[in-house]
Amino acid sequence: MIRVVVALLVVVVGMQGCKESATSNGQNVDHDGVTTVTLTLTNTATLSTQAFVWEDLDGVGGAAPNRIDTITVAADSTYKGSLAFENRKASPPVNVTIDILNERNNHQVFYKLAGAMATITTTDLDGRNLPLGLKTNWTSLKKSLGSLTVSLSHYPDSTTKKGTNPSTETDVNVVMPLTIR
Amino acid sequence: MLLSLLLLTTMWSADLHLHGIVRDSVDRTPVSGASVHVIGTLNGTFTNREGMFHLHNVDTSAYELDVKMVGYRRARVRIDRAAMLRGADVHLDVALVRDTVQAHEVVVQDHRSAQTGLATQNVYTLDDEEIENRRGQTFSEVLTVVPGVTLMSTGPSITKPVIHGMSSQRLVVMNAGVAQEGQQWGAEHGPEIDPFTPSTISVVRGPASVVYGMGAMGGVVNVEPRKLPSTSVLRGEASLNGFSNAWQGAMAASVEQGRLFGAPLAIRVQGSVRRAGDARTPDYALTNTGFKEIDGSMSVGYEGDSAGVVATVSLVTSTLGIYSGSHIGNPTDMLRVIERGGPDVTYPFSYTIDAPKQQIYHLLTSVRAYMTLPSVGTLKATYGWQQNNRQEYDAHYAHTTGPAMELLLNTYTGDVSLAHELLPSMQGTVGVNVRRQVNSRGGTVYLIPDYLAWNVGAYLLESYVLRSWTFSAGVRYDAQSLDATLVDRLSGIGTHRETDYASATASAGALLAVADGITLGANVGMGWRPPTVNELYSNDVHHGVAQYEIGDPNLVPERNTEADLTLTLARNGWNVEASVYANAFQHYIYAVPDPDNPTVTVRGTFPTFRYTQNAATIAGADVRASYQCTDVWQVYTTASMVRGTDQDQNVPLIFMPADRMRLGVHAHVGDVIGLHDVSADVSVLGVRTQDRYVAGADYAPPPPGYVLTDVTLASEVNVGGTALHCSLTCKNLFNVAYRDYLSRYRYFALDAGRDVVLRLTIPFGGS
Repeated sequence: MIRVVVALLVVVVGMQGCKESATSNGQNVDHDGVTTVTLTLTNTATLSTQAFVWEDLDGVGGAAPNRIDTITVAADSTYKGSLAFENRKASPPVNVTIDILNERNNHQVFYKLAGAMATITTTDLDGRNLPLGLKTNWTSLKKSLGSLTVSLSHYPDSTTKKGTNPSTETDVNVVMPLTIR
Repeated sequence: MLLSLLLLTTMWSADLHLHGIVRDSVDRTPVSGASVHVIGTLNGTFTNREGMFHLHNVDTSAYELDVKMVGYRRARVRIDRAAMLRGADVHLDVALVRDTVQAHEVVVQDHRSAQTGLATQNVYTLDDEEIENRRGQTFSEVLTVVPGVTLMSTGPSITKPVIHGMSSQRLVVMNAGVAQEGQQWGAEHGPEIDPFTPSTISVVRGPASVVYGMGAMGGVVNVEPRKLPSTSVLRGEASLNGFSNAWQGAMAASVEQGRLFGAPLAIRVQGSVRRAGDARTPDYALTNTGFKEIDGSMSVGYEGDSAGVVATVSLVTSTLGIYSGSHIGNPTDMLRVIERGGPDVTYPFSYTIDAPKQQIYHLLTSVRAYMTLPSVGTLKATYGWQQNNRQEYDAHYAHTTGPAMELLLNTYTGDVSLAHELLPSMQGTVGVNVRRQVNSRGGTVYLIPDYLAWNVGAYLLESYVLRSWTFSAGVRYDAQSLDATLVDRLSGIGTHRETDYASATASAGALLAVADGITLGANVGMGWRPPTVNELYSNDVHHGVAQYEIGDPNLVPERNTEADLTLTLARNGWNVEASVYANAFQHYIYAVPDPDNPTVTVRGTFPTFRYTQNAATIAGADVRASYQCTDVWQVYTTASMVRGTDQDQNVPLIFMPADRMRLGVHAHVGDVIGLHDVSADVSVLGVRTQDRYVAGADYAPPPPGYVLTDVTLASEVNVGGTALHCSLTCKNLFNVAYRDYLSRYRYFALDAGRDVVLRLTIPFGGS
């Protein structure tokens, strides 16, 4: 008896409703999520160029970052730095740097050194003459080991950007080892 | 002014009214929930928690009242017509005589309503006044009147109940006979129920898995639509609410009619609209915390004597803004906000709702049928279909059209039960239920996967009345099969992962009528739940709390065994209910910090939390007491405390509600200058600092305790022969700046400040 009732219920409950799959399926690509941060350094004397990459191809969550390069620079040298943000998970890949340039008044990149003997100054400005931080000048001093933290602050309200204060909506915050030799 | 007062008085004298109190004939304790009806008319009401009733617009031909209550003999009471027609204050004292067979029987004998909990379990049914004077903000807020029930909130528009320190997947919310299924695992996902649905709300505190199956570990909230009318008169009710804090406006209306086409056929149609802007703390507005909601429902029933069917469809649609200041990128941002103590810039009040926001609809359909089988019992069958759609929009995403996360959950349920009476004093129910759930996700956030779940359960409950004792016991078996599709983020390829869970549960209890007006009840109950999909498979940042949460696919079901003891006393003006309880958990599931393995992401390094299972205990006590000093004055108090401990690590459980106590004075003044039933209520809520926490496991320690003062004035106002119910409430009278420990915005901002609420209920038709 109880089996018949359960079997009957299984049939009734098994009837398909009108809609069982989410409509936003297929939009599974986060176009704004940054997967790859590339720092390109050009030695101002030799004009040689090196690119250092931080990459987490599957985005926030899931697997750990697949590539974190060690930034290597020569002691007592000067470099010009350029920073690029990309989403390589999206197909085709999205150049997020262009979006940041378009919304330059709402973004700023901060560089923080730990241990390594060098100075970094930003050279580019936004529409209100506040620092943007995609372009930098580097001066390395003596041999040392340490790390560089690159963080991209997003200011939904551009009036909260003062040029010195990181926002409380950080889009990117990556740490790369840094060697001066 | 004098003229208008005079006019009001004249209008009021046209309304004949009666009031009184219904008491137990033996111990003179008030009888709450008794139905009081003017014979020969449609005019009727129920007594409140203090046994009092008020009838308005009494027909001039009225001569007798019909008073009914389960467990008592029906009483007919003569009305002093002459006094009433003179306009005198007619006060009736009704004494109900206990029905010896049914005395102390608490099982509701109604073929429509599901039994809420075990017969010996302590069930708190909210009375009309408790619902009326609290509703309009969120559904869950009404429940805080019940001692032991607190709220977990994500701003004032998203709240969910916490019973005895348990919420979300540890509670069952029944709506029109069907277990409400949204995405209740999420702390920022409140139950999608229209606060204006005309219904009876009752709360079971304590596990009730034998009755409700998996999930009913902390308790059950049962929302039962009000009975459909049985008379052919069209009538309805309209409500208007205004809230000053978020400049919220709410409107609701319902219309109902019975005996359509001369058959026992009835219909009710109901709808509500709400709109709110930014909530305001004493210091600033909480930008983007507005909401808009449009809800509607319809019930149609054919209810014959021996068989019938009632169908209900309800739709809740809402758009809820998420506080813009709670949108952060990583733990450093979170610490900076906490250090700052509030928002960086404050914006003026606005009704605008931008991303981040939630857009939700919940469709619930239930069909309930019953049939009386002579000499066997009553056979009941319920079919439920729910569709819950949740779209969450993230603020950052300029390129992605559509939500960052969409979840579509379809739940189909079928229940068949047979209520039977083996002996005249022994009643029970045997039943089976089956549930199928299909979840589909979209968007870019991988908090939970697609899944298909099947559940089957079977149960037997019996209760037995022996003189002044009531005994009850139940057994149940449940099984679940969960098939989740885990998607590889990079390749997009899904793999199936199937897990099966099963559990047997049992409960037993006894209730003793110790003396007149005094009962003592004891229960031992069990609850269980399988791990939820987020606890099994989560692997992402939990936004708003800046934690990286990692699930464990090898989790086993969580189980609790609870023992409780409840004393109720109702005599000599005292009305006291006191309970103590203790839960022992096996495999309590919660996210435990893993400080050695922080998670590195492109947005920064997050503290890792892993879903873990430990032995735990949750114990506590709830008290409600009132004393009726005179016919006018009443003093009351409610208090609750909860202690949760992870027994394996010997540390306090996180997010247990802080100890709290409310002290209040209620005055029922009666008639004052042309107003009836004037009442005033002043109460003070004191909440202690939660001092039981693990230092460093949370970004900020629990906030300090606080004291809030609430005032309510309520009255009936007669306008053109219609008795309007109106009330004016001021919550947080002194505009105290505070943060509640279970408020998810406490890291970012203060809780809402003073709120002046005006409520108006207008009955129409029927006379």
